[in-house]
Amino acid sequence: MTWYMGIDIGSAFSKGMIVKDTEPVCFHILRSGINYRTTANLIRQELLSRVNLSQNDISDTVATGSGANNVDFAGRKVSDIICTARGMNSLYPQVRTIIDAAGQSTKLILIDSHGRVTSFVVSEKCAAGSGWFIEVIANVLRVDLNEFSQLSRLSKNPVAFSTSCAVFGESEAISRVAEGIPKEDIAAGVNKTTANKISSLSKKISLEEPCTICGGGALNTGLVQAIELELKIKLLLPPQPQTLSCLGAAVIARTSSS
Amino acid sequence: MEETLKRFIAAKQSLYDNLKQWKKASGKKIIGCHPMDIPEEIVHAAGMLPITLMGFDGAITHATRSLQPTIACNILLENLEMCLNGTLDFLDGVIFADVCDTIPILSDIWLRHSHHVLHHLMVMPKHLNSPSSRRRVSEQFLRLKAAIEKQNNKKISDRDLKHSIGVYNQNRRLLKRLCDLRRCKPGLLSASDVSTVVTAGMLMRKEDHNQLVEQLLLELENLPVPTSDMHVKLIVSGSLCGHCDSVLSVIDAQGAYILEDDLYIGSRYFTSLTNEYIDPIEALAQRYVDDIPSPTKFFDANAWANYISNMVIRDKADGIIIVMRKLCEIHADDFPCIQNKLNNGGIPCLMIEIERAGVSEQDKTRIQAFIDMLGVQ
Repeated sequence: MTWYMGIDIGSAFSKGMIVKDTEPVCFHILRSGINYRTTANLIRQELLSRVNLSQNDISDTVATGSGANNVDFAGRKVSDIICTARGMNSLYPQVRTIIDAAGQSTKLILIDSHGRVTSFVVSEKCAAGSGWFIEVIANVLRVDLNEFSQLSRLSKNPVAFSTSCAVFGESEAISRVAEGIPKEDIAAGVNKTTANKISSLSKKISLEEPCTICGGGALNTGLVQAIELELKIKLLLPPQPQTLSCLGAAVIARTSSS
Repeated sequence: MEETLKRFIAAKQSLYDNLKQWKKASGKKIIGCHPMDIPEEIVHAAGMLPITLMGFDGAITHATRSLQPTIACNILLENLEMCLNGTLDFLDGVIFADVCDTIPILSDIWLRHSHHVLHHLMVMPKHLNSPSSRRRVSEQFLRLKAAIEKQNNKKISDRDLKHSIGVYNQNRRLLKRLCDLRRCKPGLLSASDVSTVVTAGMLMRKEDHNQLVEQLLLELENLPVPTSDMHVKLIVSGSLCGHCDSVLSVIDAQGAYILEDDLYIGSRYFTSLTNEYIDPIEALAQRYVDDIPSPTKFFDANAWANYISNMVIRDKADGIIIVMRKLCEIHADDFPCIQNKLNNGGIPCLMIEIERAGVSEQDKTRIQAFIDMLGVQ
């Protein structure tokens, strides 16, 4: 039995996974906070305690994500796009397009049957189309992200936001609240705007089905529906969609070792 | 090697402090050359020191009052800021070439606000595939020469010009050897190191730079090829008018190495030599016309695209990263041709847009993923 670890230090959430040979065994998710090194170590401690192992029992660890450089115990660092692709391929080898709706940015990744990335696009510098925009508006509506998702699905008349900019969007959302627009319509409007942004991104790449979605955005079922409507496709929804990158990191650790 | 590199780093980081001291000690004049395409040899032949104005990292508080940030790239804004805040008061003159539509505007604003004795704007022909083009280029260079002679009250002789051409050619040959080493001994020199060496040369006497580069080459050529796991081979193109150190740092950190480039602070600066055996002004004009393709000069729509594509194929690179300065419309105009050419050739390409703040986290992710895509998988 050989154990491998994958750690994904993201801008909003950090995730870790241990795999045994080829099977995922356990995962852990924490808010990244402001000290990525501490977060990485906390995740490692939690994972190791769950499987009753020490770091020496882990054959290799691969780190990924924007905070990967803070994972001192990782053997190597690999970009999150590659890790996400490999992770998704290990679960669904038939998938050809991945929409990674993450906290800071959105990525569209094309992969081949071996899980190799053939092309990708990443949203530009601003938060438009990313999880951050949704978090900002959820805050305006005084709901958490779970409630936000459920709320948006109740909407019959989504608000049409004039902007996808998180800063201006926040102002617009506050104005809508002041006008008495129902929360669910505002939430649905945000999901629709985010889906539009993802749709624009998809124009830069030749989307190929089957498509899937991962990242924190995949937990927002209202957003998933909005994307499906916008792109006119059916999205495969993996279990624990936030953990695909750390799963992929662990898979790469295993593949490199063997 | 580290000690020699430190001297280049010091020259680059001091920016203008070293130059001010040099001016005080030597009594010589310093002329600022706004990127690109300035025939520095003419300035050098007049006994003055030409330096490249390459922007700065500080706050921009004055420039946006005169030049809209929505039309001007960061190099123009930063250089104008230095003009307006007095940083460049030590210069004795400044020379521009209208490589883009915004440069003449910058030149006009500069003229109103600065007190440089020499202020010269070259208006260069854009279509270079006609017989009259070369003549027009020579005429512009002669105008520049005349302006400098008038300011100095001293003629620039052909002999002095040929000598300066020789000095600059020697610099180009040395820098080319440095880049050849980078290709043949991956891991010996980082992309950032090479950029530092080239940048330093734009801020010091060419004679001094030649000596330093020769010393560095001597040290490097004796070193063995380092064992490295650098396995992704890249071409890097673009970054007109300024450096792209933030992109190069990410490439270095990700373990890829650059086989060849056509960066402004890179091979574009030194690839072509000037003919030392013909009339010097004609020779400089010939170099201008026959230099590696540039969006500032038009031969045919695909010239630059073909050049870039050939670099990748010839060097058997794994892919190419194109660095585009935000709001550089001449680069943006050429990019669709370049992208089509690369896509049709099945050449993996990543375009990164840079501006003042350097490389964003998203762009770092893109560069890292691109390199991993070419290598790790």
